[in-house]
Amino acid sequence: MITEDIMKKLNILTASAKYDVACTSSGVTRQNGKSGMGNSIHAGICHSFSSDGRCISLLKVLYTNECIYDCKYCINRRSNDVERTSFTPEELARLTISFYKRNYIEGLFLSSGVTRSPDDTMEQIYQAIRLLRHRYEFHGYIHVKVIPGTDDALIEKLGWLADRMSVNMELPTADSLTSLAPHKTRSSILTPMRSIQLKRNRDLDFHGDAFYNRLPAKNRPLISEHTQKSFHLSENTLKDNSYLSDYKKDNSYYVSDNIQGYTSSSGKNYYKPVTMKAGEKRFVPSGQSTQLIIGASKDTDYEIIKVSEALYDRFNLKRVFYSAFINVNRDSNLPDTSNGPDLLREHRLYQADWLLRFYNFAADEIISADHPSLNTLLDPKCNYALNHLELFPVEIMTASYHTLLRVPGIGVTSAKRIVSARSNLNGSKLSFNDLKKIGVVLKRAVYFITCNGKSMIPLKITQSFILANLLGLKDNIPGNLTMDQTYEQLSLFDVSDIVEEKLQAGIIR
Amino acid sequence: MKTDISPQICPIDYPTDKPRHVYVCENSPEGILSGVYDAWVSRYGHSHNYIQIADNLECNIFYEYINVETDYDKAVNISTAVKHKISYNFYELLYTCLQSSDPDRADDIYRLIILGFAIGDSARSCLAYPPIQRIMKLQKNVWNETHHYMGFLRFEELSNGYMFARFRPQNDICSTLILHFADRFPEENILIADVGRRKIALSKHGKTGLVSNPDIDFEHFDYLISYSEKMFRDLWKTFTDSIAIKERSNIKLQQQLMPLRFREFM
Repeated sequence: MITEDIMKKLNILTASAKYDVACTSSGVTRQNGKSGMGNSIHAGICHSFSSDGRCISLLKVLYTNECIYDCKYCINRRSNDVERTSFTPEELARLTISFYKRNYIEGLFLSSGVTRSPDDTMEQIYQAIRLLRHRYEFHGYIHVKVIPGTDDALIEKLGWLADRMSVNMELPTADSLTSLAPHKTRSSILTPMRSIQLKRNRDLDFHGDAFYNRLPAKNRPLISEHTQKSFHLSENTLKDNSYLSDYKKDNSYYVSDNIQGYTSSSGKNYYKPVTMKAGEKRFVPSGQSTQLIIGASKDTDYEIIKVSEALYDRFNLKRVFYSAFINVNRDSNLPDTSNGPDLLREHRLYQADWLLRFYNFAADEIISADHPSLNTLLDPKCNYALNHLELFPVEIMTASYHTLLRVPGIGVTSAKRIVSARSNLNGSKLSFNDLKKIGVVLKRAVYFITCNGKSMIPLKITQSFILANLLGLKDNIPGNLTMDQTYEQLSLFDVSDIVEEKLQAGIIR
Repeated sequence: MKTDISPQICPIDYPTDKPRHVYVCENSPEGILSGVYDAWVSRYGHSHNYIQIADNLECNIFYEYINVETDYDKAVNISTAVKHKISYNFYELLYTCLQSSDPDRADDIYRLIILGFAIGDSARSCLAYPPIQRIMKLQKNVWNETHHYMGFLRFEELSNGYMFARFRPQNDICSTLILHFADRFPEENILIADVGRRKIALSKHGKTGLVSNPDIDFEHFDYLISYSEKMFRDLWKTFTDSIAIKERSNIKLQQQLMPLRFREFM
């Protein structure tokens, strides 16, 4: 059944699929009935980790690596001389089943090069997925990559079989798309994305689920006049931002923001995973994702984050993945990556992405057009706090949930725990020790909070003081701080010289 | 966080006028629950009772040690009472803690049950009470390991068509894992062998069972593994080698996310 031939195909088609980042198997809980094989768990399951530290949870392969497109960053572009091959639906289904049965994988992630036309390729993918779902009764996780320009009818057919679908954005601005991926257009990418969104929303609506992935800007919490202004700003910039606007003009079924009527303002159904009973059919139950390449074009972090925000707000995406560019083709027109991909930039973008999705930040609070790169020294949340010192310190015993979320070192879990602990205190008060047990990262939070009106250590709320301490982090709360204020301040002035330089150099705005 | 736990049920360092009774029980769920039962019916006072597992017992000259005979009926008595009189969620929590391998878990479980019968299901949220804090840690530890093994367990096909997996978990999680895999593979026959505890969980067409101390040499399974297995293993290795991006190589991260203890039978 499985021969040398399959081994070779697997090798080639995996190697060409590996630059796709997404390998999540999360977002849907599905029970098995009494037949076939497979179930799904909303938390997702990692089955292995490859030597680059990325999780392997899905069988991530291309259906074929033959391609008629010539995207400059891609290893499978038609001008490359690489060995081409493709699976047959039967081979792919058997391979998936036999891996799944041995608990090697959680499901299938099927992407493909473009043979003949997008529709022709997607039709072949559909046949393979259909064979797997129907003949082999496979109920595991299936993620299907959609080729830009795919017909609406094919999306409709595939969506009922797949758990997640994704159309890759690849590049944030239309200009860089034209120069690096001449066969793709902004509209051919966004049209299928919108189509999946609308069909999925219809399905969620039918089942009575809210379909907002992110609170709309007007429902986001405001912690001061200052941020209120910036929220208004973000609303306006969103409306006429140029990143997705060319799409709006030439598309008839663009929907305006009137879908807000469906949101639960309490955010209760926020990221609620879909639970499916055995045999139930849902349209793309775990939502859609996309991917952006970081560092192939001259696009700035500001543009990338603005696009991500627009994708979350306007297209209800579950995830945007960021992939640090690797110049696999040694193309002289593209940046050189012989010193390794820019992993720090990728990391900072993911941090900013988390702020967008789980912390109710607006893109304009994280980054501004004047300083379009994320701070490499500090994470975006610390950076935000340092630039908005007028909002701090925050009092733990009285601050609202959303205010707590803005404090560096307090995450979603610890903010929730603080709120629930406060309501169960029976008159006693939380201490810094309790906060530590709750899971607050005091080494970052300590500069921005007070507990019962007192800060843990003597603080000077100035940028240079906090920055110097944040950058000189040891494992614990800096011991010298608790000792003697005068001494500690003297030593800090030494450090702050460097900080002062960096401030002037514009690394920290 | 409720802090008003009355001293009657918060005994650990509570001053006593009577010598402390230490119930020494077997290192098994039934053993611990028998210990809880005996301590309870002794009417000596919860504050003066302490439950400890027989392994690595360190004796204190001022304490009185009582050996607990493991009795299945006593254990069932306690667990049904918990299920019906407190809540099913509480029962699940108890079950999870009993799966743990922590050497000091017996007394924490005792305190959990006392508190559960005293104030009901909300005992689970008394996070300010140290035994409950430890219970929550145990629960998290067991859950994490179960979740890891849902991914890291590897099945091999035996020549009779059964799917067989071996592992050596820290906690006794065979029984939870088999439920997951029984739902996942309703048409397969599955064996999951806990090599360290000598336990086999099995599932046949969705029906599950558990065998402790089977009369089998576990090494014997090596001879039963089907010939085609090697081919699938090679295929899988091809895949994992091929999916890694060399430019991003980060072996340390790999080891952090998938520690070596999970890889014994991979």
